[in-house]
Amino acid sequence: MSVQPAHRPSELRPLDVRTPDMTAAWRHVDWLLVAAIAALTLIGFALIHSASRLFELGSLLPRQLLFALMGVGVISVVAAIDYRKIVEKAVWVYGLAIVLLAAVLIPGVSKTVNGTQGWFDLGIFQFQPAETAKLAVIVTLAALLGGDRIANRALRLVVALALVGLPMAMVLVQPDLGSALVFLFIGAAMLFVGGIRGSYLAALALVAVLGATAILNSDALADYQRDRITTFLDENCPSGEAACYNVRQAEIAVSSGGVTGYGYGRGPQTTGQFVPEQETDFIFTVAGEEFGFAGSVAILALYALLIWRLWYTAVVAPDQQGRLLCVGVMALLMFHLFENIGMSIGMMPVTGIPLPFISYGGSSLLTMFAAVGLVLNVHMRQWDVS
Amino acid sequence: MDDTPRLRLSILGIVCISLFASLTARLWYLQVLNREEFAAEGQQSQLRTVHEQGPRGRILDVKGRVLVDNRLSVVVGIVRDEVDDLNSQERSELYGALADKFNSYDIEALKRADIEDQVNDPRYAQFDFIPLYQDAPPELELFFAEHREDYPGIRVRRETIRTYPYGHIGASILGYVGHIDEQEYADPDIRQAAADEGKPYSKEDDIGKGGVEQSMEAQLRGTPGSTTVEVSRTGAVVQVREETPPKVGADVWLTIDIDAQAWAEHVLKEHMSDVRGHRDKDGRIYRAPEGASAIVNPHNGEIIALASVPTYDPSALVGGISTDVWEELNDPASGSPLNNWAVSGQFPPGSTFKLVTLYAALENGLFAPGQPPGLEDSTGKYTIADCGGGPSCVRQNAGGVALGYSDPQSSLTISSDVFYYWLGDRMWRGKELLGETPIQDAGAKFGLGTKTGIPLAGEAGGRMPTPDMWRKRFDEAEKRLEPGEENPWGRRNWTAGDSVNLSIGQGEALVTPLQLANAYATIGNGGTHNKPLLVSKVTVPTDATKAPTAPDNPPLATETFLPVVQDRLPFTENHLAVMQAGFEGVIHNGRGTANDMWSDYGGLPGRWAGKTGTSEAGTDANPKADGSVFALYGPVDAPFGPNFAIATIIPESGFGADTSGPTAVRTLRPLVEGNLPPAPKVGEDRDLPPVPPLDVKP
Repeated sequence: MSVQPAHRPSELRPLDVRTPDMTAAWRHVDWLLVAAIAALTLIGFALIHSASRLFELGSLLPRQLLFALMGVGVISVVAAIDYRKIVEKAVWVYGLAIVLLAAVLIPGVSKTVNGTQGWFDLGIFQFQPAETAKLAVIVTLAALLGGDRIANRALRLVVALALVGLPMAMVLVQPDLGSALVFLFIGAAMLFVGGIRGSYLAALALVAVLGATAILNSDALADYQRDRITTFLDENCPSGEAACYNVRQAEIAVSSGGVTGYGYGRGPQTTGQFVPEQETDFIFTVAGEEFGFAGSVAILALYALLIWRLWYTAVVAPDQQGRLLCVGVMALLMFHLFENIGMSIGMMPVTGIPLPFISYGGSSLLTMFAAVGLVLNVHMRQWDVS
Repeated sequence: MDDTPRLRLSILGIVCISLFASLTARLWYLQVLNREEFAAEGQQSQLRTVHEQGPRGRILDVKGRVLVDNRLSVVVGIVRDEVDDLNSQERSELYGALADKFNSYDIEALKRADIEDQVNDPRYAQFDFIPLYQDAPPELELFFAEHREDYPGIRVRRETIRTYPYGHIGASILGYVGHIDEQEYADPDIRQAAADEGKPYSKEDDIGKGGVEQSMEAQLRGTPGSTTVEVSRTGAVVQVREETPPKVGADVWLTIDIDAQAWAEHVLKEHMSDVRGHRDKDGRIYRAPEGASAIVNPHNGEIIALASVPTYDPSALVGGISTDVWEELNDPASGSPLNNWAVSGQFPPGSTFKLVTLYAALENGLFAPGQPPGLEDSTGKYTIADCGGGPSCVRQNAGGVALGYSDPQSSLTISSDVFYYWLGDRMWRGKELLGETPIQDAGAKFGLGTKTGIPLAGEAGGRMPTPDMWRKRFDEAEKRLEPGEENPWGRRNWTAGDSVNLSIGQGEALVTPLQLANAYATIGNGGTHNKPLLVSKVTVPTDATKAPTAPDNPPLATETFLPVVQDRLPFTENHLAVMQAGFEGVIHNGRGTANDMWSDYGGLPGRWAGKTGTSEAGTDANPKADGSVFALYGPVDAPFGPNFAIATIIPESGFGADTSGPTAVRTLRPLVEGNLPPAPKVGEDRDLPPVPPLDVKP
């Protein structure tokens, strides 16, 4: 059983100069993937406008358009450079990400939003180094697990855990619980596909559960973060009015949309601005309220298409590094969308995780474009084994 | 590719599928199965009703020139609801920053404590716009629009406020506009009137205060509008549900000619300042603290001008009055500028009152056949036969001069006090026949002692003292006396001496300049007592932004106030002619009390009639210079009778012919000659022509 083609065309010498090079990267752009992210980004524009059009400073749509334009540049650049060259430079990528994560912790340099010290104010948008660190971890783990620099599998596991653990610890200091969980999820998925032994995996899972319990019972989390999680766990939410309010308003918005929704721009919860952070973290509630179950499922379907294309690229990737890149990106996106939609509909605790391609925000959008760029990159070079 | 990654990739795929499935299931549960439950819990949209005042109507002069207009003003205010979200430190920082911002624009008036007081003012509801500063510079409007995030709750609005193209001219007629106070808001009359007009007040509304603004409030006030909007949690407007636009109020046309008004104020003010600081021959200083002239049209009672000095700048009262300004405007030491002395000032009429005394004597038959036709005054003194313990029993002419024989006509011309003492004394002695109050009753016929009823807030009625009044007030005081205390009024009964005092306008008789002018208009026009008319009509303009006289701006509706004849005085025999001749003699007869003044100051074209008056106001303990009173009407040789009647009263400024006389003559001159200088507008670099200085007599 094999997904590999019987002949790799690149192994054959071209017989005739006029024969086109069917292995050329540009011939293998995954247009389905591009279409999926384009559709999601466009839906994002509509939802952001609906949520923000009544803001005092006006709709945020023009800014998001600008970010998307920058995103097209980012995805083009990331897809153009052979992913193997990127993976080669993993040490540098990782180092830079860690430096930025460290810099953001220096008081005065960075900006605190919602109690989390995790942003650089770049004027045009607020840059969140945790986002780029997610990409850096994906690239680095791909380099480590897909390469053969460290032959000892146990040692390789330890190094991998350390590489994931460092940025995780650093974002927890900010504190940004959501991003820390993203690192965890990325690490787990890549280690899983990267060939870690089943027994190790079981042990890690146990440690994770114990660790999470310990964190919840310690002082490591700010009150509001604990509130969000305990709100999620406790249906009647006696702790923390604010956290309870967020979740309740979000649920009301989504649920009251019914099967077909109130129609664009007509959702009472949305126009009344009853859902906090609706243009960013709770953007999905706009879709839920205004487009109902039909619209929500349509968005889920687009995400499913996106995830499927990532999964497919992982399958057809020409090497383990490429495969791991795809798995990492897939984990990143899957976690983001599940956690984000999940919290909007009361399934998951509230964290500051944006909905990929749809939530307002330059940092998130550019990161997602770059991430998908890596996968496009792999897809484009699936026949190129040079 | 070995099997492990492939297998594990497949497992990963299955995990993803199950995650999607769980999201879909939850959405199905929320949106399809349980929609009703959640939708019912959704916040009902909040409705908010915003009340908006309609712009007030304008106040126009007789020719439709705009005396009080509206303009847009930038108002910086605060919304309490948004400030409530802040903690106390943030709030105090906000107020501090705001005060600093204002101060950086040289607006010192707004201090942090003022802002706090204003925000805590219970008149304003939670979502109301609470004004902090009216007429802010436009730069501030831009600034706050750009820095909304730094100044939460601060809003900038444009509001219509009053503007006064002629500045201080006529200010005390026009009145001003201010926020309705609690007393006014609770006043049942005001509430009822507003309800009748369909313009109920809300607590932050404006209301006319003083002058025409107050008396014509019902007409001037715009109809408030309201807008009901659906708002979001943050207060942004989602949708306008219902909108009733405010309507502009009606324009009020006065009978005042602003040019005449400006000129009357100008002459009055100049001559008052000319006289000030000089002393009379007894050494009493001329203070002339206030003064007033009233000009009426004897044909129909229309008021042409009501000059009151000192004046004030009404624009200082726009948008709230500081305590300092308020106290200054009401300070008697500075002449209480807020008072309209022409209608609210009550002054002793002095000899101008002889009009009333003589009318009473003539019409009560004191000169009927068989009665003495006149009085020979060889001593300058008059002795009251039965003075009954009243004021001193021997009275004399001013200066103790013996004036010889007087009949009713010449008694006016030469202003013989002795003649009038005689009349007063005789009428009191004839009280069995004439009643106790023949003089007072005559005064009432000329409109003295009661308000004329012109639409001006704060009009005073003057006073006609009567024996009844004497008795009442004595008895009232008696009831409240402590044992051993003496009644402050001294005596209970009116005596002949009191009638004698009243006969020459002394004692306790008080008139307003307008009453006096109208009384002389009544004699001038042959006995028709017109009700003074200040407002001629009220119009609803087609376009309130265009000039009321513009040809393309005809009024949509007009309410006209026609002249009202109060009374026609029943002059019998030749009494009217006798009196008119006496008053004409005052001006044109060589012995007339104003004859010298008339020639000194150039007089007026045509034949005129009038009366001088000098009122004694001071006491021995508190000497004051005499009050100068002058009344004039004419030209009596005009085809249809006199066109003007004027009364000028300036307290503490000497004889009637010395100060008020020349003031009245010079005030009327350009009106009579038809060359009134136009009133200067604010911002025009033009003054009225100078008035030659008054020849102040010691």
